[in-house]
Amino acid sequence: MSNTLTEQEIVQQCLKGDNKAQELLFQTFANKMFAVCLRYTSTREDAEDILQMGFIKVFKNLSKFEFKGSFEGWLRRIFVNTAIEHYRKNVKWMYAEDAQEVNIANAEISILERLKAEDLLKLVQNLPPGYRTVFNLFVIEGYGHLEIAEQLGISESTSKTQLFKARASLQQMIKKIE
Amino acid sequence: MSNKNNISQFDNLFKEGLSGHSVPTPSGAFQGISQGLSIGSVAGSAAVGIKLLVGSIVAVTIATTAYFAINTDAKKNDAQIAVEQTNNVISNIATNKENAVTVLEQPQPTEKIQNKVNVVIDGTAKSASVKNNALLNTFSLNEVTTEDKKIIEITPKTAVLEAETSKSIIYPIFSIINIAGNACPYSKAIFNVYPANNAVAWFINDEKVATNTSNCAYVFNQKGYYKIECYSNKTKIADTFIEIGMAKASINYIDMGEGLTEAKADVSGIKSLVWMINGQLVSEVNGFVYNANHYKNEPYLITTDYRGCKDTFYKNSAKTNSSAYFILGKENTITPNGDGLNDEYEFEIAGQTFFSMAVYDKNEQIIYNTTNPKAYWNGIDFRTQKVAENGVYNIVFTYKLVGENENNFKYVRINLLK
Repeated sequence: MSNTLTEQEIVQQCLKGDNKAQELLFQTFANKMFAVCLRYTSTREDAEDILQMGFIKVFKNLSKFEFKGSFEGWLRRIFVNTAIEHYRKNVKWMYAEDAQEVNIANAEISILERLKAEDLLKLVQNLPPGYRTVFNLFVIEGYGHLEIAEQLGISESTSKTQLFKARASLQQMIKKIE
Repeated sequence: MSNKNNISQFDNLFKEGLSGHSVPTPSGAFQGISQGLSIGSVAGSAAVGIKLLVGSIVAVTIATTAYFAINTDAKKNDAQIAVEQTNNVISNIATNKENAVTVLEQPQPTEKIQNKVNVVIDGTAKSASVKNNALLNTFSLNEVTTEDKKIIEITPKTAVLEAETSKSIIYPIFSIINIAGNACPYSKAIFNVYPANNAVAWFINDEKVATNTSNCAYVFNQKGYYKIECYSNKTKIADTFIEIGMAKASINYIDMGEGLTEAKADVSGIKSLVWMINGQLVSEVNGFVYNANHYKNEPYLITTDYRGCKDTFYKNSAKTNSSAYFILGKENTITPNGDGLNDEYEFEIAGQTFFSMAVYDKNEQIIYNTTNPKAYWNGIDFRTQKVAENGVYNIVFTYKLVGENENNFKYVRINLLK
């Protein structure tokens, strides 16, 4: 299997059941998707589970991808949805609490600017599951609160308070770095 | 800078930092996915051979996924077809017992059984009936007509059977069709085999519990994993499995600050749960948040499994409450030098309905594999029959526990030091 194949050619080979093509597709995107999985979990083990389930879904549903958009974007959506499923399987209820938006100081922004991706990932992983999921969906994936609410089975206001709480928790963690 | 701008920048720094981030995946990950794909898609992968005789089809009413094995005329062709039925039970295939049902035009090894299987009854046969439409989804019966009552008339093919009659073997077709009563500890369950056969002996976990009866009543005295088998004339005609006490739960408490604690449980095998504090029901949902300052005691969980059995879980009480589990070994280094210390990689599994283990070397070649759940890896490379070279090896476990619908995959990276 040549590495010079286009995404479309790799996908077509995968659809024929070519194991080498499946492995090539996996190798091409696995590291990026693993980082997505890690963002939604606190443990590497859970992330590996999501990675496996996600790729099995990808291979089983490849025929549905019509090359009308970014293949990587389609993949990412599957992994995010798999992570949401994983979250919903474990947490069925989210507490709607009062929360206010935090005040972020310029000094904290300066600390954040110096952090590497690995450090940012650790911060996100240290969030409680509900905060982490909403933060990921809102900030990284760009979902709106209505969409998050529908995906997680919560109210919009709960999504907002979870986001506020997530920022507040991250801020506390950043302060400790200082 | 305004706070709004700072929050926007705060979010953007996370987004920019993490959006394109990549992390190396564990080696061996693809093998697990590849195995998962192949197991999920080729229910009939064991199918080989040319000619079958329908016999001893076992329908399992308990497991969510049941495998139906069709035995073959071993003298002519060693063949086996596994037909996967999810949540469908073939309740009965009744035939005139004096007649053999012969399956011709065996599907190719990679085909599933629904792809054209001709069924023929020998010259003395008058009829055969299939009382469950599920079977029609997997068998394409040739020369049949269906009626409203789902009775299938199979026209004898005398010409074909002249050649086949001498090889025909008569297998009554049995299935365990019912388990009545609550399947809980100390509750009595009744098993029936169908069609009724008073020559049946019943075994539970290899212990003979009844003879000469088509019905068997049994009290499960404790939680556990039970294998139920029935034999007629020393030949196993049906079997199934049941786990008493399916619920698993692991409780965690998460400090949410401001006096609030979230009690959350990783659960499986349950139908419903309630959180209790001091004997009072406080929540019927997982992820229960409470004010710890208001209570002296921590919440605990009462679960109800799919058979109506209740279990109580406290923090750190999970593993001992289930008889179906998989636990990776504690040591990730093996030293197979025969000194009795870490000579092999051990793991624990119980209550499994499927298991396979494969050891991969650094070139991602399988050097050892097994489907024996009691096996362990002692460093042997089965290609050379010698202990493999020092280095890192990946073990991929694929398994399914009782009550689970899908396979689980686990990896472990093992250092081998001679």
